[in-house]
Amino acid sequence: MSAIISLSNISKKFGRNEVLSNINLTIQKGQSIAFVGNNGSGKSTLLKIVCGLTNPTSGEVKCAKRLKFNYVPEHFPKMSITVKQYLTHMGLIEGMPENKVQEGIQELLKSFFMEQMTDSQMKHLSKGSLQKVAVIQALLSKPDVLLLDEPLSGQDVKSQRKFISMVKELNEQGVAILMSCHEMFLVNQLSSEAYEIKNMQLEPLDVTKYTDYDYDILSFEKPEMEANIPAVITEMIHKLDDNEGEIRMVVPREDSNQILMQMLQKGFKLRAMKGIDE
Amino acid sequence: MRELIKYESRKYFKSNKIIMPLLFWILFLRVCYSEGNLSYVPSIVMSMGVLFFVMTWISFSYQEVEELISEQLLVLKLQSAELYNVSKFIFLLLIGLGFSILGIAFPMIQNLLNHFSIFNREIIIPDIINGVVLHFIIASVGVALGALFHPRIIKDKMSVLMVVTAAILGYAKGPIILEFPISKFVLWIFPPVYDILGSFNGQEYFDLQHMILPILYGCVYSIIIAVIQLICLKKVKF
Repeated sequence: MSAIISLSNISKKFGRNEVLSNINLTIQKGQSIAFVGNNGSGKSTLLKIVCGLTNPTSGEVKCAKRLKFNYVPEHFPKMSITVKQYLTHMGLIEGMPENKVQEGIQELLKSFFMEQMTDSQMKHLSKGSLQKVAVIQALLSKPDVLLLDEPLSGQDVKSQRKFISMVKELNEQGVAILMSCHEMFLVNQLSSEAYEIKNMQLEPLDVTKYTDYDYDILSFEKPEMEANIPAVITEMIHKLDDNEGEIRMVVPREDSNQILMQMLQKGFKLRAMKGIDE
Repeated sequence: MRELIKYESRKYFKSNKIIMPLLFWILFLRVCYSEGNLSYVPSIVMSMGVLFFVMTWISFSYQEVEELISEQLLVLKLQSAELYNVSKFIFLLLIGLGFSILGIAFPMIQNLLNHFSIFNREIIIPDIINGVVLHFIIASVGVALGALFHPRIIKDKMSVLMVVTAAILGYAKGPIILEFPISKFVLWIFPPVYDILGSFNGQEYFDLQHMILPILYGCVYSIIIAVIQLICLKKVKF
């Protein structure tokens, strides 16, 4: 693998608040790296520095050549144009031929169960559907580097599975994947290398300890009386979607029974349980 | 670039931000050309002054149409922030051209409907062409001024007040300099609207000799401000 991007002594301050300090990292072609960390730790900022959308306060970003970055942002804006219009414009702006754009859009909308929403205005879409549009625009063409900023937020399980398989496929074709996320489930699925951003520095994480997991998806109905998920369980959850009235979590199969019992004790009602591959 | 401008126009027109300035422009033209026996050059000069404010308004409000995330995606897709920023400028100039054409077409149609009684002399083809060109030049000055106050360049909430002040000073700097001559060392920095409009005082026709300087003023100022805006946007990024 050849190095395509190198970060040397990257620091970033917002006013007096320093979020990244002396970050050094080399990114190889076809590598898949995850950045995890608390909210505000600088994960998204690091992605934007890598692709040149944000200037570092100090340090240098070197690219081996002019790279094409595709980007799935965390929060996709609501717009007054339809899904199809937006995606068509994006494909054509990228320089793709019209027929390829239309083929790509049809295929991706079908893969992400969005065929019914083709002509819906984006401002009327739910958060999950909007996030799917963000994913589709990034998967329309093949980039050198795919940047993913909390890419799964709000998406349904089938779409998540499709997304993961498509990203894996791109990675196998030599596309470098840089991902910012909270969920160890996603790190396990997509990344060969992971760093935690802690105290403004990159600390390598041992991804091998996450790779052997099989996962279960548990869905619970929230109790009428407000109840919090016990802290001991929160640590075991690799992905959590908290929607109104319902909680869906992805947990290692070996912890499923313990989590299930504790959640039931806390008054949550089990609505569904299945393996991630089912 | 063409596709990008198409996308920009679809988003802008869907945002409805053009409605108020367009209504204001049409209303002004309606009122301005409601009477007959007008002198052509002073009428056009007055209309140019108003178009400057309208285009500053459009340009300033247009900068807020695109959300930050959407801008970031476009920059990555184009692989060039410069190309993206230039395309926005070109789009605004196209709107300026449309408004300029409207600014001349409206009185011409009025004149035709009123049996050629709106103006106190016969309108010839060069009057029409020169009118459109001069409107477009002043529109480009307004576009440049509004674009300079891009939210990524001037994050201050007072930027609306700042752009209005700059536009008024550009329009009224002549009388201010007459009253306070020393202010000319500061006021040259504001848009050359007074200098452009003042060039046609007492003129009956737009002759080439009197048009060269205003056109130069407008072009040079717009280009300088556009370059400053591009440099600032490149420096601040997102």
